[in-house]
Amino acid sequence: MIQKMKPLTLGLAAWVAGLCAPLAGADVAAIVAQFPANDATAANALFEALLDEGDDAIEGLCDQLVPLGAGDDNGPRYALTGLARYVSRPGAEEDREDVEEALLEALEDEDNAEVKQFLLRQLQQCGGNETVSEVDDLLLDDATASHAILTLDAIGTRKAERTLTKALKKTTGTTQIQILAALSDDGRNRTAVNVIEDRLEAQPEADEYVHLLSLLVAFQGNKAHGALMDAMDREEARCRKAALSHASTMMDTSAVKKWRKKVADGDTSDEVKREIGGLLASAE
Amino acid sequence: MARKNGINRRTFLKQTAAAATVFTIVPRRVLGGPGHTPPSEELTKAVIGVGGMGRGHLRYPGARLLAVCDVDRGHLNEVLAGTEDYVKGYTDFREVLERDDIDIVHIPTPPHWHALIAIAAANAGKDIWCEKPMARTIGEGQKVIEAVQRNERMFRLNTWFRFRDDFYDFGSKVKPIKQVVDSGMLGWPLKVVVGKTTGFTFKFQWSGRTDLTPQPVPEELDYDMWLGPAPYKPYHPHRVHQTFRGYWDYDGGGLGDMGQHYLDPVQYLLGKDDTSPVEIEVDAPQQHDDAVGSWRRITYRYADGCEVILDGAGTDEGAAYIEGPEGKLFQKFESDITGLKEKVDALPDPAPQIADFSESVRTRKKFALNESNGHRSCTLVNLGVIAVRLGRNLRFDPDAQRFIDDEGANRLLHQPMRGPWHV
Repeated sequence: MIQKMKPLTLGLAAWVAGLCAPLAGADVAAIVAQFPANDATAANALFEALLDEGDDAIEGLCDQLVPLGAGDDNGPRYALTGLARYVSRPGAEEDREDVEEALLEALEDEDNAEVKQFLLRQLQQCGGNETVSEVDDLLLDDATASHAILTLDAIGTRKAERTLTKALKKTTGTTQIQILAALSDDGRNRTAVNVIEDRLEAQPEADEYVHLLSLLVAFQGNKAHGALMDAMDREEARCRKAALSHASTMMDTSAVKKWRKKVADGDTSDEVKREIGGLLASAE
Repeated sequence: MARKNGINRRTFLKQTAAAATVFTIVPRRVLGGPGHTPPSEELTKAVIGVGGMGRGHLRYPGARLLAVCDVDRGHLNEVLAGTEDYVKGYTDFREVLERDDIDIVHIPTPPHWHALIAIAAANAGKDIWCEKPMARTIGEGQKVIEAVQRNERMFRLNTWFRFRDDFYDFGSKVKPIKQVVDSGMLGWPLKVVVGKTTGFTFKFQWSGRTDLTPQPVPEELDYDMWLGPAPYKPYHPHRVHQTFRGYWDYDGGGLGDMGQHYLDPVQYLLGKDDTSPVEIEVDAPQQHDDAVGSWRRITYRYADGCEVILDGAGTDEGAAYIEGPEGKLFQKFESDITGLKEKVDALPDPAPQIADFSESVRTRKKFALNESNGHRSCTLVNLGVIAVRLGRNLRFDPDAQRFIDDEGANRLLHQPMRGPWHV
């Protein structure tokens, strides 16, 4: 359409836009100065005014964010948090998509980790599958991974679950465990189970081992008895106690048989046999 | 998990254990003997979180203290200096739960840890005495119920007005009020207004700050463990310890701190222990992303028309009161019903409640305020928190325990936990 405009018309449009731009900026500043609003009616009127100003106004708000301790950006923070909550209300899908898009644009342009974390928290409230598509890379960045995982967990769609599952293969250490924890509410996940089994096989230190056992039980339920029995071979009492504690919550006839077999195993020490004896006694 | 402040927990524990081995002289009452209850007949307890409310839990009667735990080594050392030598200190609650000789675990930590520790304690076979609010989210509360009941544990929530002491606002015990409500003398549905007496806005620790400049983490604090399931945010002293209540990640300001004290007895009075409101209306200023602000009024409406109003601003001159179509009950048991005090004497007692947690633990009978009714009164708190944060009125399905047609609100039912923590 612009290509079809005559030069004179284009010039006129540019002149009008030039007049309006500072006015729009002043309007946004005047709106932001009114945050935080004293009640929902006043707040909602401000959100509507911001939405009327369009995506550029919201992105402009994001540009005003500064890291904690680097200045007062409470106006934009109140405005953006309020907007993210406001557009998450029923029947506001178009507004939600607009705000999500603006937040994602800002996230892409932002360098500071704390500001990125703030933007991700707003997307926890109003983000959808568009956000899921855009935050993959942040899962691989130590400065943003934890908040990106929480954001995908909060969005909670199948697409978010698939994205987190894919990221399991690209991550290690604490980030990978955080992803496992985020997925642990979603039921069976073969990739997650494989990752946990590999990490358990490597015999990590007790803290991590206990977390991994807990996550395996969350994914596998009573299919985790084998791994729990393997944990009884660990020297640290806390690993064995964690295993017994998980096992005690899911002892059926089949599990009792498996644990009896473990007791009968010639390699099992007397101390561990006594511990398992306690589990079997309480199951019976 | 990465420890960000360089505290060497294992060294500390080794030192603690070594010191205990060398210096502990076991008192006679620990071993039993004439005039002393032997340990096998005595309940034992551990207190997890001893910086604030936990100091009170140390002294609660009914069980002998064997262990204390805190992620702040300063708090831990202060408490250990004033306890018997056989009381051991820990910085990791999981090591407390591994002890076979502890019957009851007290959880006076900040609320973002309540559900996680309660579930772990239930799975470890411990009975649980948990501070209010019971859980930081409605979803976490549901998981606590599941774990406590699956493991057949006893659970007590630490507010008491439904069975003991004068109800803050009413200046009267709850029992005679319950008798009047149950008698039908006030008619039905009822409107209950509470909250004026102590309000919810004046205490310094209930409002967060919006100007926190990151600070170095003190050497004695394991900040990563203090945050636990909460999102990582840079350390500032106002974020932790007494003032944590002013930040949404850990609590809900005055509503989180005091709400269940007010709402639990009202829930009991109205006979709503197994349900929740269907509508929540809120009047509050806009809220910050991180810091909790004030609020003025929250109205909870049940399916049968009963209303509970939390008057945070103290604007209802007549509060506290209970009002029905046929009568009104004011503070100090005053009423517009003629001869009410005499009439109450003739009314039947409410159903008996177990008001001693030791009795509950020994008899395996549910405590008066347990995981189920505690979850429902905590749900009132969390419904209020969500409405205040979102700045909008909500409709709730008390059976499904989900908001109706509001996915934005439903996202706050199960706030994600920072791994490795999960429930």
